[in-house]
Amino acid sequence: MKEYHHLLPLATGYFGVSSALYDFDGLVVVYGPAGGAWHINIEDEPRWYRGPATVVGAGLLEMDVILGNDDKFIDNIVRTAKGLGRSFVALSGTPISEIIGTDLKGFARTIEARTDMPVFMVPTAGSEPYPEGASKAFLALADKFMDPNAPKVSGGINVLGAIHLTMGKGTRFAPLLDVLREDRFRIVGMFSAPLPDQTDPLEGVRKAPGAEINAVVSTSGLALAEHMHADYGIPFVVGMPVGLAGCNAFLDMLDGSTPSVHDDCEPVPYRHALVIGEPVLSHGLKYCLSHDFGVGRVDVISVTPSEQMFSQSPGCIGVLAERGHFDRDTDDEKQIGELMNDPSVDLIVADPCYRPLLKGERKFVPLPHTAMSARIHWDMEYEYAVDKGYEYLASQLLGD
Amino acid sequence: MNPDHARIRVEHLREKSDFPFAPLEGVGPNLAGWGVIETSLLLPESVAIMVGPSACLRHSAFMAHARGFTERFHMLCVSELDMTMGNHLSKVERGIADILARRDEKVAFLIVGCPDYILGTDFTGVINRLEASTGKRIILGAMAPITIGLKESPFTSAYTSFYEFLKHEHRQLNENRLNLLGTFMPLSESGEFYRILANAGLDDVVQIPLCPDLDTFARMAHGRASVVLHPLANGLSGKLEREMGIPTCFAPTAYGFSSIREQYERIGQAAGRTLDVAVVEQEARKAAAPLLASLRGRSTAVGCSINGSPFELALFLVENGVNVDALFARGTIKPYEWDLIAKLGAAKPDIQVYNASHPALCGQTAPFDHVEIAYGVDAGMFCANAANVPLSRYQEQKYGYEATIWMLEQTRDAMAHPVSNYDWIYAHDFLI
Repeated sequence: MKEYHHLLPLATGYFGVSSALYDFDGLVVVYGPAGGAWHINIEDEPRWYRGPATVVGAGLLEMDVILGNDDKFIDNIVRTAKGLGRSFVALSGTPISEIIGTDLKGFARTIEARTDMPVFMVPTAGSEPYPEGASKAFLALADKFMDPNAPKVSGGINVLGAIHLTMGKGTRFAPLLDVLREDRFRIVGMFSAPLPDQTDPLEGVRKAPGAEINAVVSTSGLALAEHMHADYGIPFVVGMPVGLAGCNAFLDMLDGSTPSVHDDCEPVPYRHALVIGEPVLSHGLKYCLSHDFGVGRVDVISVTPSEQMFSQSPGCIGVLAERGHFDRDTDDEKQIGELMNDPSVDLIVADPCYRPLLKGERKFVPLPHTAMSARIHWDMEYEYAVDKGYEYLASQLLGD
Repeated sequence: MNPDHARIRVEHLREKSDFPFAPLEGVGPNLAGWGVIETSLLLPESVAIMVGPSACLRHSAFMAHARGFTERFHMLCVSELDMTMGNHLSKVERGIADILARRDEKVAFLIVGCPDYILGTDFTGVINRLEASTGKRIILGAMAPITIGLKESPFTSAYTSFYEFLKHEHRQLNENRLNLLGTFMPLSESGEFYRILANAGLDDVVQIPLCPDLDTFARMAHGRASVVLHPLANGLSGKLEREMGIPTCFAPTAYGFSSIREQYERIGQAAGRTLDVAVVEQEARKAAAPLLASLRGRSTAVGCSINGSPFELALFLVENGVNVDALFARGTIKPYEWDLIAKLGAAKPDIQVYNASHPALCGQTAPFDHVEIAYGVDAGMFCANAANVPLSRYQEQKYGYEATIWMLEQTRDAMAHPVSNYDWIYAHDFLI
């Protein structure tokens, strides 16, 4: 039980589904009471602003639950999906559908038959970490749209897991894509958004099996990477390269070579850092703080499960992470607060929402985690990817 | 599906079933007032503890933080499985006991969500044991949108529950005291409402947001009348009237001069005093004239996230020669608004009333490109080129003729120095 949240509980499963599918011109129906979809959009999906309806709510009411008005909702979903003319419909579960056991899979089959549209359900509830929902959404998307006979693309790479709940605005993530393109890669698919030159929003998903390698930039993409290795033999690298050394190491891993470690760093006056956030990005930050800035000890608090990224899964040819003895997984605020206030910690990199847990003075580098602070810090100026990430951290650590 | 599906001419809007049906819940920033936590924490010396799946808690947490209730709001996350099995009760009891041991507040609102509501979880034993062990009052409430439309809304229930802290008071009538109910942001003590009442000898106004403690709040039991500014307070005022004999009147925020005059008359009747508003109205009409003149010929839209009724504001604008093109509403039209709708339909039958939650409306701004002034952040959402005047109930609160002048001055300022609708929503939280 995750007790005593006083700040904000992290986004959960159906938030992850929304984050994964939002940009693909589909219709995501959150199967729950009124307000659920509204809050996702207003708080957790700033991409919603003046955009088309992507995430909508079923508007479930008490008597619907008691009477089991399934037909009414199927009719409503069919009517809306046809009216809006979307490329697919995804049904996402909520605590209510979980508790009353709504047969969303049956819903999906019926709606598909009545609309001739691709329809799928994502089994989410309301307590699971958001990467689980995103991960299930990616698998469902792959199952529905990936073309097993997609042509092979020389130097082709898919980027898996770049969801906004972890990555923030797409512009913050873009420098990594530029680096990949500058190196030797051709980006085939982004499982979270279409590429700018793709008129069919799902083109990247369809063609993804043609890639040579997958880059998994958050835990949300891990299950899909494992699935694609099992089905198509595509190997993958896990990591989010932050800074300069991380970028080099990441590219080495994608090339199948052992990363060369350059400790030609700009030393900073900090000895013990704490990084709080999503595990893949947080370990990327740890790598940067260690190798670009010479911080002696960097501990990672993964607020969503990190175990899978270290599971040595078949197909994984590299992980940009150095697991430390003091790294841990927890979103317990009390525990995080105690670790932040450890007297030896002199540097913290985390979402600004964690700052109130600090009792004394520490160097605090704000790095928003959208799954935590949602729109609150959406427009904040910060960077993390490759050289932009280095510049941001340098300005924070070496500036006045 | 085009925006036509989401609208109806106001002349054809005669009953609830006429309102455009939204097959699924689209998204407009129009759910103003759905705040159980916010309502509960109006009670002084209270703390709210919400229990449920993380997803539900996250929703409420944003509202609690946006309203500055961070310190008094706690959350206990429980899984759907634990809730279904009833395993969460012991955890909830332990958690609340632990939180209350560290808090000084005398009252705790235990807020549950839709899952517990649907499951019918019985918290009686938990509450009884906690009250006995902590010596504090525990009040059960629900943040349960699944109950919409069937019964009294959870936030009305929360407000009504405040009666528990008044009913034991020995009522001693205070001739000069008036209870003001339904305010979140308080009316200013130097404003028109207080002045007009004071001139009639009612110089002791009690409103909940200004009560520092329960003792001050309990003074309401001795008021000679209650004035309700927002429908959420009708439950509480009704109980005060039935159980304690305190007369009540419903006088919601309005902008039209005739509406305001009628409201002051109702307040005067309830309080048994004559309120003299003639001079104030005369001055307000004089001040409003040039401001209204500058709006004539302008195209406007009115949304339902404003403080007050969008139909009432639209009627005032139309009666003063301002062109209202569109109105954004929800299906939860309040009983007192039907009369306003009929008058509006007679005055300008071609106004289009949109269901702001209709999925066909999301992302649609082109039909409203011509609108120059949008009242309410929900209207501003769709009217991309308009100067947006939020008239939010989270801004400073005005009442009576003062509210009309303030509204017109806000319009003038917004036209001269527009603030983007995005900023109203994301930087100022003027949506919930």
